[in-house]
Amino acid sequence: MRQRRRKYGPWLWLIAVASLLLISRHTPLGQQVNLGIAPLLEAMSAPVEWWQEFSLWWRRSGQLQAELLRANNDLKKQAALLSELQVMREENRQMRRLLEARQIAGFQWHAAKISGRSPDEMSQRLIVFTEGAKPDDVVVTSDGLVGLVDEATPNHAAVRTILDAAVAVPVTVAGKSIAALVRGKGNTLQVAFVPWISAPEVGTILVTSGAGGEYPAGIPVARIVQVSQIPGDVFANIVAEPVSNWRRDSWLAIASRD
Amino acid sequence: MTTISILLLATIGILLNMNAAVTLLQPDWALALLTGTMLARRTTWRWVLPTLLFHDLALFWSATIFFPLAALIPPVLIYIDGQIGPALPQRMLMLFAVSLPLLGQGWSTMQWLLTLLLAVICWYILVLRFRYEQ
Repeated sequence: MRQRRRKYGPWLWLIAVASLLLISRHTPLGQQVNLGIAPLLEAMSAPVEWWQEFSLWWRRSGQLQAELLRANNDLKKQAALLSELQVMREENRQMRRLLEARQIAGFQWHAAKISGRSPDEMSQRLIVFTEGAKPDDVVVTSDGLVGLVDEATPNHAAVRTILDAAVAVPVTVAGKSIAALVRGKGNTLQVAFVPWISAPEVGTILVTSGAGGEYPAGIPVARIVQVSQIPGDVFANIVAEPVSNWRRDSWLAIASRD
Repeated sequence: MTTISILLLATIGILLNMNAAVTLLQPDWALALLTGTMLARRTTWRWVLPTLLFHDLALFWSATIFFPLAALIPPVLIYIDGQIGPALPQRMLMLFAVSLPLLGQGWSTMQWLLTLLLAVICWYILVLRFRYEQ
C-alpha cells in the first residue's frame, strides 16, 4: 500500500495541480474567491465604522457645541475637525458628480462602496458593496471610467479596472473624429490605433466613444501622458493614465443596462 | 495547532492586503508566511500549497502567479539536498525565485523587499517552533 502510494503519489499530485490550473484558466475562480471573502473584508473594517458612528453619536447635540467651543481654543482639535470637514466635502463632491453622471440615458445607476482593493500599486481589481450589479456593468467614479463588473453576487461585485490587460475601451477625443482603443498595461494605459499624423497632444482627455455599445458615450477615460513615433509604423505609441482615482475615492457608481 | 495558526494568520494577511491596500505600505503577508513555512519544513507542502493557491486566486485572480513556483520547492529541495546536502543557499534561492513574480504584478520594490524580509523572519521562527514541537 505504502509502495503504491509512493509510486503513484507524485503523478496524482501532478495531475491534481494540472487540473486545478486548467480549471482556474477557464472559470472565474479568483473572482468567486473575492466575492466569497467580501463579507470578511467588511467585518474587518466594521470596528472602524462602529467607532466612527459611536463617536458621531456622542458629538451630537450639546456636546457637539461644547466640543466646537473648546475647539476654538484648541488648535489641534480644530485641525482635526477641519480635515474631517474636508473629507465630508470631498465625499459630498464625489456623490454630487456621481449624481450628474446618472443623467446618461438607457442605464440604471447604483451606488457602490469600495470594500477591498487588490494590493498592487494601482489596485487593478476592486471588491465593491452594491446591490443589483451584473457582469459587464460599467463602473465609474465622479471623475471618469473605472472598469467593468466581472462577477457579482446580490450584495457584492468584483470589478476589473481599465488597467487590467483584459479590458479594452473604445475611445475618442471630444469634437474630433479619432477612434482608438485604450488597453490596460498594469500601471499605465496604452492607446492603440491612433495614426501618427492625427495623434493628440499630451494632456488630452480621451472619452468613451460608445462604439460597441458596452460603455455609454462621453465618459472620460484617460489623460495622455506620452506620445511618440514608432519608426516605420503608421500608428503612434501613446501612453495614458486613468482620469479616475479609485485608490482615493471610496464611492463609485455602477451603470446597468435598462 | 501551529498549522491552524498559520492558516488563520495567512487568511488575515490576505484580508489585510485587500482592506488596507491604499493606507499601508505592506508586504504580501500570506506569501511570506507560507513560503517561510515551507522552507522551515518541506513536509508542510500538503496544506501550504492549497493555501497559496487560495492566496493567488484572492489577490491576483489567477492560479499561475506563485503557486506553480512554490509547487516546485519540495521536489527541487529534495533533489538539491540530495546532491549537495541540506543547506541555506538553495533555500534562499528558492525564496528569491518564488517571491520574484510580485514585481511583475505591479507591487513596488519596497513591498517585495518587505515580503522577503518577513519570509526570512517567519522561516526562522517556524524552524524553532517545529523543532520545539518535535
